Amino acid sequence: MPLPKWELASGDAASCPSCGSRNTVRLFPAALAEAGAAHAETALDGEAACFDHPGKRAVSACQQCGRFVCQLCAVEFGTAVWCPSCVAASSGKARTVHSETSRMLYDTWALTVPFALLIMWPLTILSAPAVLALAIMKWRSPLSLVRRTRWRFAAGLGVALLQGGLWLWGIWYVVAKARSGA
Amino acid sequence: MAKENRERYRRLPGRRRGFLFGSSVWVGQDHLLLVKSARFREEYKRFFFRDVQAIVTAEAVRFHLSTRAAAIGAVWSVAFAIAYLAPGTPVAWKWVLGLAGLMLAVAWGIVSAAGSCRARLYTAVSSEELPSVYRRWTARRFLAKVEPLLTQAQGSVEGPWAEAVEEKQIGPVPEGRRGLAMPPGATLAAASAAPPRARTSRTGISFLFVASLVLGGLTELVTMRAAASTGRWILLGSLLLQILTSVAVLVQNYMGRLRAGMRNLAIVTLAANGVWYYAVQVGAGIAMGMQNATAKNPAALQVQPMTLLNYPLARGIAGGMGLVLGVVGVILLLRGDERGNDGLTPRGEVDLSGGAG
Repeated sequence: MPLPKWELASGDAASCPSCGSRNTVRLFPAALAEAGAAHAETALDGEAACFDHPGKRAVSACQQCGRFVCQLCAVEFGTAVWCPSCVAASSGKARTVHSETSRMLYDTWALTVPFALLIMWPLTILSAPAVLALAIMKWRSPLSLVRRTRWRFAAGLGVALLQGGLWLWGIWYVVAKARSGA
Repeated sequence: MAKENRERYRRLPGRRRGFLFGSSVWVGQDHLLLVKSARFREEYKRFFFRDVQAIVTAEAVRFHLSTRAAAIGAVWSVAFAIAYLAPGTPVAWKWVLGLAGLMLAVAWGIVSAAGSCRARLYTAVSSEELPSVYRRWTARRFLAKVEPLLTQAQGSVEGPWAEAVEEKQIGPVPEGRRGLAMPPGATLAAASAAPPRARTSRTGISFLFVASLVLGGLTELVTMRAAASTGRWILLGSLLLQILTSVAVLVQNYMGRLRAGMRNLAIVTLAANGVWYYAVQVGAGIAMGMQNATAKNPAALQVQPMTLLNYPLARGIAGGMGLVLGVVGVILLLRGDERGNDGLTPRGEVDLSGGAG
């Protein structure tokens, strides 16, 4: 069922004549722009040419490796331009916030595992050293793109230390008891 | 360790916090960042300001149980259990807490049914749902923050644009049914002629499912203080019917005959029954522990697990729960049939060129 156009045009919102639900539409000029494919122009004599396409005119230089790139090869990330090779290699600055699509949250692992395994507490004898190792090894690894602090690492480390300490104390206590009994 | 060229992000209104999955939208220097988290992993999608074609919000029923709502429910459950089990608690307190719980549940149901929405963001190559924007007031605040940024980057569309987009393709090229997109050159008539799959909340199974919730809830409440054996059979019969019809609703939704709202209600029903069962076990265990502490002959207090379900409190909570869910089901039934293009967005799809809902 079409949305009434007069309503959309006047208020960017319309009620569906069928189900009555109110739909709000915010349209931006990109929707009306003509989509045009990138065309690399042919390089004339004396003009800088693309590294990968010697016959095409260079429009920019890769900010990672410095190679010239044509319109077709220029990959924009924010204000920077890279060549496809650097993007594919994901090296150096290409591995920035602009190209990452996922991250493993080691700090969440470090915080969750010690608490979750309290349900099966005997397993904490294994998880405590494992979490300690994880927290120390991954302390400097990148966190979430949108998180700022490492408190999860610190908290997980603290809990794992406590669990490990309790295990050591328990083992020491049992051994001491056994010796005194003998 | 890779050297990080860190960009500062600011969180936009709206955050979906689930037990396993979450979502939020952040704004960077020149783009929006959609973050979808699955507990130990985050996935990111970027939408540059200059590329966003449209943001559409549409009314929808969203029965999302956030971790915050679950925490409130847990606090209430503990308070209610303590008030009910602790000796000497005034009856008025029990009533107040009971009513408070009922009001919380009803408020959640009303907000989920009448105050929720779906939001979708379109670029030339993608059509992405924004799970974090699922309440209408959040959608308003989200748009109020985002619109100026996009307008600053792109300018604004002047004049009536509804006519202008008639022959435009908004969003990605459609592979099937989903999206705002229209094939190049497609017309309004062609879009309207395409037969969308009918999706409804009204089938025999859904009626039976809602009836089992409402009648089961009422029966349990009415017979809350009936004899233990009678109450147990009523409770178990009602639970069995609810579970069977919930499964049937899930099957019908999978076969494409029922809308997502009813499916969500079935999922909530199954989950609520599971939580209720374990809560009863734990609550009764605590009560027995307290009694054991003061009893002269603790052995006499041993109770079989099945008989714990006979407690009037347990049956009362099950009845209230069934009634609230049943009311939500009745609302879903009353909202009537719809003809949607997509099971994921039964109310949310807006075809600028063709149709909606």
